[in-house]
Amino acid sequence: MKPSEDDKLDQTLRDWRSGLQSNQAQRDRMQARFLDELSAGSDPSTASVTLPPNDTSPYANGSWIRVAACLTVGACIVFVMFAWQYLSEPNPTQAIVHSEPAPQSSWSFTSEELRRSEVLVCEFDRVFEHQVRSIHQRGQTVEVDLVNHTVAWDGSPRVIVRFVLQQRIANSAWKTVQSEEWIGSQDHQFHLSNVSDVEVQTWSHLLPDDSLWMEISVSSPDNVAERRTRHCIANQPGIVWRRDRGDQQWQLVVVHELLKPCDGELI
Amino acid sequence: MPESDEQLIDRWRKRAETSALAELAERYLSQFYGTARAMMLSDSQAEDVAQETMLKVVRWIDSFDTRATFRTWSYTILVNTIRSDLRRQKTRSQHFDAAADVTRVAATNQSHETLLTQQETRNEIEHALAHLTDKQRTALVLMVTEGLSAADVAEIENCSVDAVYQRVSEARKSLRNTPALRQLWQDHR
Repeated sequence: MKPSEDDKLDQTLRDWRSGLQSNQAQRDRMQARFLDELSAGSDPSTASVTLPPNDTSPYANGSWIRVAACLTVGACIVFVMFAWQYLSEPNPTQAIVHSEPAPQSSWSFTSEELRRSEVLVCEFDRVFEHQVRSIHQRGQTVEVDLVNHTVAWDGSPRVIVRFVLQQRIANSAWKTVQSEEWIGSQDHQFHLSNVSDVEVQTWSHLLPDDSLWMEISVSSPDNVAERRTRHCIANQPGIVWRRDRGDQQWQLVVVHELLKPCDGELI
Repeated sequence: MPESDEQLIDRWRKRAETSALAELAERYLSQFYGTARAMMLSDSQAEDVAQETMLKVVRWIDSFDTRATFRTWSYTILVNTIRSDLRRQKTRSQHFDAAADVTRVAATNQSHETLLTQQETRNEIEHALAHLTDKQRTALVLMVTEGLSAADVAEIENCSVDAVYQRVSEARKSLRNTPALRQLWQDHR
């Protein structure tokens, strides 16, 4: 039977493909590299690879020491935050409190919004080879902050935080002055300014239960910086700051949520 | 009788034997490399992609369902990794690693004329493949040169089997109509 044009084409492609095999030196090199990286875990892409211990004892590979060390460091950070807040804040009304629930639940992240943000992070990580430190979304504008050295993202969870600054006059309905979203890692600083005359700086730390401790410093035109510390529950919008100025009232609503990692790939 | 891929994964999961992963790498690194080359990556890029894919396989091995085939699952990761690399390649405007190709060709024991003809043929085919859409090229390479079934490709590409056949058919049609490839066949007759 005479081969069809497709058969001939397929054969041509197979012949071409057979010429693309790796040679022995390449195979040896790839195998050696793979085993090296597997044991060293040095490649950023393997940062979260967890190799099971050879011994079945949970203490055999020292992983418990690393976990304990991480917990200790985390506890120290939280302690320093508490201590700093306590020592630097003379006003007892500014003690650490849970953020007041925001009356509007519409600020919560929908699954669709989270999914979009996860894809956005994946895409930027692909394009910028995991050098993305943070992503800032303001309306239709997206700004990407890249690390300026060769150390890639360390694999820690990505957090998305939405900041909504609202104003109302004489107890009228709240109007949103500014709404921005920020995607970063466990510890981050954020600066919200330029639309209103209120300037907000935040520093936050993600806790193991996915809640967020947030330090907030708000500067208003009279140049008085007010500081607050708030504990925010994931995807529960909270009012982290409120201030009356004459007949004007201002409030800042914050909501955060963890983004699922996909490491640039969606499989 | 050699262990199946799935048995190797099972051995790694249950007993954490690195030798199981080494065996998987031995089987697949070279295949991943060849597929990456066929999907338009240079020598060095293909090595990196093969490497990266294998490490991702290890990272996500817990999510592998042993009722599926390892080959299809790992090729899903491979195709995604290749696409990521192609995107980065676009941003760097980097195409073929000519120097590496010359080294490879020089390492073989064939006559100068044969090497030139082979190189020319390769260039023609690569040029023609480069003009296909990403989906057409992926379907064609996976089915025709890598020997995966249409059902496997459909699973990898998350589309229907009919869509795979359609993509392959369009790709073949496009290649058949490429003057350089037509000329190539006539010369070979």
